[in-house]
Amino acid sequence: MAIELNALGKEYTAGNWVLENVSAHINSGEFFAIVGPSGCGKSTLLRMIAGLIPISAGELKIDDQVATNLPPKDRKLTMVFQSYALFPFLSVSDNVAFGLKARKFPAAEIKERVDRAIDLVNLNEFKDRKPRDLSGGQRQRVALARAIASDVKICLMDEPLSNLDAQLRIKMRTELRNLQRELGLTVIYVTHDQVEAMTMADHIMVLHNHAIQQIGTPLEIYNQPANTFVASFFGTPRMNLLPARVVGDRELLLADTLRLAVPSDLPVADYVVGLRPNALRVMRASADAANAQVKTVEYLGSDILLEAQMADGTPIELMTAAEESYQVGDRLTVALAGKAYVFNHAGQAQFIVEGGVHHGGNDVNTKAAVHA
Amino acid sequence: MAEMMSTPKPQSTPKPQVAEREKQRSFNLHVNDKYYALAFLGPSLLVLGVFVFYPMLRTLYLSLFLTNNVGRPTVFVGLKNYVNLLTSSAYQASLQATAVYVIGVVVCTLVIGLLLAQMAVRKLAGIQWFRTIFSATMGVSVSVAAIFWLFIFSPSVGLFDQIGKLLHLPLVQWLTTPGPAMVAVIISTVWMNLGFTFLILFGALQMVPQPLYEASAIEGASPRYQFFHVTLPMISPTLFFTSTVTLIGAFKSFGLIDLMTAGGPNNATNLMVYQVYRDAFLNGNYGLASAESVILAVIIALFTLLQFKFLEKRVTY
Repeated sequence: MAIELNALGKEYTAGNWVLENVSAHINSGEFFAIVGPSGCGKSTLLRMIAGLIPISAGELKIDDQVATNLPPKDRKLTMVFQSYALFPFLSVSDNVAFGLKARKFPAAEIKERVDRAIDLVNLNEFKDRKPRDLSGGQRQRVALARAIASDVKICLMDEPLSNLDAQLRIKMRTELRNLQRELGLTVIYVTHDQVEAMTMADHIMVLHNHAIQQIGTPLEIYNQPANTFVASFFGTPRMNLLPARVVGDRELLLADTLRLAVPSDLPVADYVVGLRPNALRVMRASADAANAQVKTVEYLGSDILLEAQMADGTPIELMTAAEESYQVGDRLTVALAGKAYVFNHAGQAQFIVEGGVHHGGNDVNTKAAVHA
Repeated sequence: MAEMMSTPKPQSTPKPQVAEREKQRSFNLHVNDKYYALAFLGPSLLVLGVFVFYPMLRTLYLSLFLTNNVGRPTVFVGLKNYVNLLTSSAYQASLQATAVYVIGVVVCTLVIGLLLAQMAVRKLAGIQWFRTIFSATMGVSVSVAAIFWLFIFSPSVGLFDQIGKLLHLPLVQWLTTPGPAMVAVIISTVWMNLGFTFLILFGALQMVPQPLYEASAIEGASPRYQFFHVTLPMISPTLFFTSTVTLIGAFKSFGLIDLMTAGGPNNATNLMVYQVYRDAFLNGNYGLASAESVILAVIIALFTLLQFKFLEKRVTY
């Protein structure tokens, strides 16, 4: 049950596109996450796939059949809602049976499928309860059971875990993923939580500003972000984006403080360089050797997150082991100890420099991985 | 440490005193509470007592007597008023007319109100106008409505007969023929009721969460199936409320009847309340009217009880 999105677009009023040119191929049995900040159109896209709102442009194919204008019930898919959308007046088993009854399946088959689905989500003891007598996690499972009982192989999920408490959410991630693998479901999963997407998905689509920013595996998204938006959206704490300008031969000066040697000549003068907080080495420094100053200190347990200001005033986030203690106002020397992502002025990825930025000379080996 | 260990001892001694004081205080509070309760309840108890409970008891009392023409009890007749009423063919006809009227009003009000609400809940351009129009009858007084409907039903020049004329239908003397007169008062009452019923049902429909419709659409439910298996169950508590209110209201209808048909023609629209009014204030037979009031109250109470017993269980979720 593969799904193909061909240049899908959505406009509510003429010329006002909330989604434009969205194309993707979702393989059968794949867990595909759509991620983006609120208002980016990710739920709109999911609803377009479900058929709940009409598609304004492009073509949708489900299982090699054009489904652009099919009514929701004929798209051979099911959906789990953020609010679970359970019928408050029906018991758990009647909720799970709802679709089967609407489609007029024989009673024996309904019973068999409902029992199996309820069994799969471990709700056997709660069959006869009403939704109001269930906890949030159990309601979530009823919604899942309803999707499973329909026996279709595509399941759309719209932030299904966001109403659960943090611990349960983490537990349900694993459970959902296992269930998806076990049943061979093709899942399209909408979330605003990048961690959820990273931990669960086979592929991630990043949406922002009405358009796709990048599609890739979680590793690709994290290690080779296509632009500054993707780079700063994934990973906690967020990637630092520092202004950079070309100084001398094959060298960038970041925030007027750090030097980064690059492998080839650079065609333009201004760049943006992304540095993840754990790719920076922090050392305490005397006043004259320092290039940054601590603004806030956050203890995260094993690590400390420092918010600091570079010599030119650019804010930067740093991670360091919690062995040493820092105070606001401490002077630091910051040096690069990991990957540097170089983006052009428009925020598009140019190349990645492995190795180091350092204060002063440029005697560090640099290895570049060019992509995009 | 040693100090801390020893502290509980001296503390434990004043305990009985504290308990005593607590008791005293709670007693004081208790007494005070009663006064407070009375102070708050007093005014409404007084009003209810004078205008509801006393008249109710007085009605019961009067229903056991014959009265003079200013309503003073004269001869104790026990249940004779009731026996006379229930064996009188005129009163039985009035009961029957009331039954027809109440059923007609309740069913039509709910069905049409639900239809209007279902239409108005759609998000269409200009729907706001219709929502206002549909609920507008709430602001119309009974006398205005009666005059308005009298015009519409008036023979030959009225709107209905004009339309009938266009279609070459036989003219109907709406308010002077028994059957059509009942239909006319039912139509007018339903029209009066619609504003309120529409507004309440419209509110209930708007409260049905959209994802329920979306989920059921994906699960394969047709709009018809959705209406019967999502909408109706979801608004059933409100439907129950409106049906109860409409039922009680229909039993108590007076104004429209009085102004449009005055119980006629030939007692065809002589509802129970109207009979009470006639016997008490036109015929001066207060004892009989009291008995009729008691019967009406019992019937309304019975229906309301039945509704609660059979419907409420099914409509709460």
